[in-house]
This record gives sequence, C-alpha cells and structure tokens, in this order.
Amino acid sequence: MENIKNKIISILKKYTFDKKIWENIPENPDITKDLKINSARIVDIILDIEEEFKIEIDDKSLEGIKTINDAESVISKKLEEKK
Amino acid sequence: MVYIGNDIISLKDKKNLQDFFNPRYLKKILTEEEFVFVKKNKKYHFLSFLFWTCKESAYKILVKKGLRKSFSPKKFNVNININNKCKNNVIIYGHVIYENCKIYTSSLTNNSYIHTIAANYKNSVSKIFCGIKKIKSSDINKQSFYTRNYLIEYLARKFKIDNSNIKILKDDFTGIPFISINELKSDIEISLSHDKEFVSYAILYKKIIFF
Repeated sequence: MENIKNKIISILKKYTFDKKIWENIPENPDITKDLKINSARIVDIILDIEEEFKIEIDDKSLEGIKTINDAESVISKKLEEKK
Repeated sequence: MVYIGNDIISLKDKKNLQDFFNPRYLKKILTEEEFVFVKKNKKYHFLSFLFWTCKESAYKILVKKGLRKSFSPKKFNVNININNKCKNNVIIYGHVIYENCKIYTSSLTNNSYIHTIAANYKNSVSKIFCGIKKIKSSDINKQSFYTRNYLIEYLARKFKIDNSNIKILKDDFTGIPFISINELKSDIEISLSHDKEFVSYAILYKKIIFF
C-alpha cells in the first residue's frame, strides 16, 4: 500500500505548481483544495495513474477520488480486480 | 438559489493543444456521443475546448449546490446550439446535463480563448457580468492573485470604495469563494477562473446593493 501511495505522490508532484505546498500538508490531502491542482490537470493525473499501474479508472471511480487516500483505495481495488 | 460558474481556456497554449489533440485525453473528458460529434466536425479540437469549459462551469455550480464528488467530466453531457457554426467572436448557447440537473451556458469564442459563463436558471445567464483580461506571460505564476485583484478592482470602481474594503475569501469547508465588503459577507454571486495568460471573473448581483 505504501508503495502505491509513494507512486501517487510522485505523480501528483509533477502537477503541483508550488513545490513548497508539500512541506505543510494534512495527513490525507484533498487533491484540488490542499494541493491546489486544478481539474484540467486531474485528467493528466488519471492518465498517468492508468499508465503507471496498468489499470483503467472509470468515470464513477474518478468521482470518488478527492484525496490521496481515495486514489490509493481506488488503485488497490482495481489492482485486486486484475488478479 | 441562483448559482453561477465560469471557465476560461487558452487556445494558444502548447500544453492545452497537446491535450486536446490527444484522443486518449479526449476520451477521458468527452462522452461517447460528444466524442463522435466532435470528431465529425472540422473544428473538432475547438469543440473539445468548448465542451470542457461548459463542463467545468457546470461543475462549479454543482459544487455550490452541494455536490461533494470530484470532477468527472464524462458525467457531464453538453448540448450546444450549433446554428452559430462555431465561428470566431460569437456567443454559443447551450446546456449541460448532470444526472437530474440542467445548467445553462453561454460561451464567448475567438482565436485566443473560449470563455463560458453558466447558471442553474436560464434567465440568469444573460444577467451575469464578466471580465476577461490577458496578463503578461511573466505573471502567469501569479494567475490566482491576478484573478482576484482583477475582480476586486472592478468592484471597488463599481461601488466607489477602496480596494482594501473588499476581500475575496474562501469557505473553509467547501473552498467556494465569496466576496466580503467592509468585513461583511456579501450575497454577490461570483466565479473565478484562469488559464495560462487569461484571467476571468463572472458576477451576478442578487439584489441592488447601496453603500
């Protein structure tokens, strides 16, 4: 799980304009509110996640991804389904 | 309650062009019907930009109405009046459907950007005031700051008060911006947007305000 989280963070870091934002974030940051990533970049993030984990994020799952932990649980579920 | 949204997108930006010409990206943001419709049109990337701004504007309204889900663009169905033939410098009217909600849109298009304003009531769209400004490319890093200042300057001129009396604050829980004038929360409905070299705002006065 930690590995998934680290991979998500490194994808998100590509799209956070202000790198200092990572110095003082809540435990489970909201991707748009806390990391200040705009919705246009969310699509890039989803494409990167799909490529990194070789999964497909459907529209319903995308709606449920507000925080890093949400992303982690959606990815874990998709990886489980692949097995 | 009337809510408004707005969204601006730069048509010249390299990253935007790269995304909106990428079929994989488009398949993430357009419904199957929209994708087919867009692909059939000669100006297909232009329509993709237009659909995106309509979806974004509609999402901003739904968040104000209480939606707590993330933006999933394919769940927003855009219908536009294509009698305008999508020429430059025209306004394209349309609506966006999300589940059982209908949001009305009006989009200004030209060679440089598309700017969409939206409201949850059809007759409110024409009552929205908006501003669009091009900022210096060196200022792009401060887009959010410039967007806010642009709106504050407009309101200060309009109400003949000092800029320092107007603040744009955000609701702690929802992150939705609102205007505070002389330390009091106003009921002016606002929406802010920025993309690359463009900043924009939309305002709807719910009632006449006297100072």
